[in-house]
Amino acid sequence: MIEFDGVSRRFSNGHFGLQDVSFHIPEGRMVFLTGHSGSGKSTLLRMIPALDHPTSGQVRIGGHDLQKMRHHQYPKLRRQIGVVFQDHHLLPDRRVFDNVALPLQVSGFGSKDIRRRVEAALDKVGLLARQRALIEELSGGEQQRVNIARALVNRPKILLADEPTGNLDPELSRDIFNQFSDFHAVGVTVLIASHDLHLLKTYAVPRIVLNQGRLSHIEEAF
Amino acid sequence: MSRASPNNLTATKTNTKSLARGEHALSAWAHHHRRCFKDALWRLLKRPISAWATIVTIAIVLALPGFIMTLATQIKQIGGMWASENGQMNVYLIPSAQTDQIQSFQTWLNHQSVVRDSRLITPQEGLHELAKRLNIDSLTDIQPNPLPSVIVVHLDRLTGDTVESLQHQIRTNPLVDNISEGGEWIKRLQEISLFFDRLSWWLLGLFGLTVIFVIGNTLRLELQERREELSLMALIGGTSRYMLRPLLYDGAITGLLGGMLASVIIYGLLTALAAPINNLATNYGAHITVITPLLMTALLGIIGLILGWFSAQIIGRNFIKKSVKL
Ligand SMILES: Nc1ncnc2c1ncn2[C@@H]1O[C@H](COP(=O)(O)OP(=O)(O)O)[C@@H](O)[C@H]1O
Ligand SMILES: [Mg+2]
Repeated sequence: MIEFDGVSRRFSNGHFGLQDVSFHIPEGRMVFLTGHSGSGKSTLLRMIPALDHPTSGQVRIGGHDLQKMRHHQYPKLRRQIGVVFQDHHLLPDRRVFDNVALPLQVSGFGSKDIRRRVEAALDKVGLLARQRALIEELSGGEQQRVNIARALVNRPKILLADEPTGNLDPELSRDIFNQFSDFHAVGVTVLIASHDLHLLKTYAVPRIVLNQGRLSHIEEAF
Repeated sequence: MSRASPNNLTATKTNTKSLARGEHALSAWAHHHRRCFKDALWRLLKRPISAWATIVTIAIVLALPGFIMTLATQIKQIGGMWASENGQMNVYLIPSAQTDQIQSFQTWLNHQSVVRDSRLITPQEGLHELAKRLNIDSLTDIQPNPLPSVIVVHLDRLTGDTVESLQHQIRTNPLVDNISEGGEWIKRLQEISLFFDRLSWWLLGLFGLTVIFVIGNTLRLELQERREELSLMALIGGTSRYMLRPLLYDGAITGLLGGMLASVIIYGLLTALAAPINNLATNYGAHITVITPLLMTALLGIIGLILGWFSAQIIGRNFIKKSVKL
């Protein structure tokens, strides 16, 4: 489902964010992407929805070579990928419902479908009762759950999360992680970038370990 | 925490596509258009000062070429009326014109709505008249008669356009050699009107470009504010067309209002100038209504709308490519 083949990313300042990284995550797997801060996790994740591109090597998603993909085909790719990224925030002055509805609106769903799906997604993350609230009224943990609901409302095949438990306490982190496990359980391919040692220790999930932009090793679940 | 059935959020291969393209897709598209339209109006109300500053600027910029264009039309009409020499026009026929041809041509002439009546002066009659005026009897004996047949046409309702089109029709008739016109100064007047006509199109082009810049600048500010939202939309699979849509509405509505306001300005100027122009015109038995205000409003509104839409296309595409660049 997610294939990297000798992928390097050299930034304009000459620095390599990624260097010769190859791996393959089959459909329906859940995998951690770990490594120290600055090891290239975010750089790698951003390539999957074609937000960034390798300077050499190939990325294939669901069998499609991203290098060969045209710009106008990106929206279709991205609608099949749910993301929980740090730098793509919620819209703070909109309601929870509207934030979660956004991917569906963008994909051209009708309002009845939107209501049904948004409510299902909010129910799933336990925020159905707060759908009329403004984002800025929510706590950090709640906001992260809205993020997850938004990532999943379009029923993506792939779910990407970049430090999803970033500054949440352990209990909330576990909560969030359980959400991801649920989606994994129904067949979504999940890739979570994290250097949250507590999280990593607690769960038996295969992991791809990066070190200074290079693939250090791949650990299967213990 | 409640746990709904996992099926709710199952990812399967088919569902993402088929539902989005389902029966609701079209209504969702229409719905998005409606919302973009409403949002654009809402933004206009929310930021009245900056929005109206732009609209007034556009109006002033469009008013100048619009005014000159109207002026050119005025001059052309006056020229057309003067060219018909105070309601009379002489049509000189070619020497080889046959009597029956002349007769049917005259019948045709009499059926034209602007023609009150007409009188045929045959070469013989012409020669007689000339001889009478010059008091030379022997003139009637000239053979062959050098004078052409002339039809003197009296015109009825003097509106420049219809007279002009009649003149054109007459001139292109194979029987017609020439028609009398009011002399060189009429030609000059027509040249002036042509000049103004051309000038107004040039100005419209030039000022249209200005309008595109003015609207573009306003839109750029708006885009800056929405930058984060736009990159989020790109991330979740929004097409650039989808992202562009609200902007197109903003640009088009701003342009539309600017154009309509321009027509108000022009109409104001015309009203101020109407008295002297109509004084002149009534001397020739006509009252000028150049273009109805409603038509001018519609015309300039559409021009503004197109310019605004175009501006939004350019600015929006460029911005999305450069700043959202996903
Ligand atoms: N646009 C950029 N230009 C230059 N260097 C960058 C850029 N983005 C990231 N980097 C560098 O690439 C490396 C990997 O970054 P990142 O992928 O964010 O690491 P991680 O997410 O694992 O913390 C870091 O050293 C970072 O400074
Ligand atoms: Mg990172």
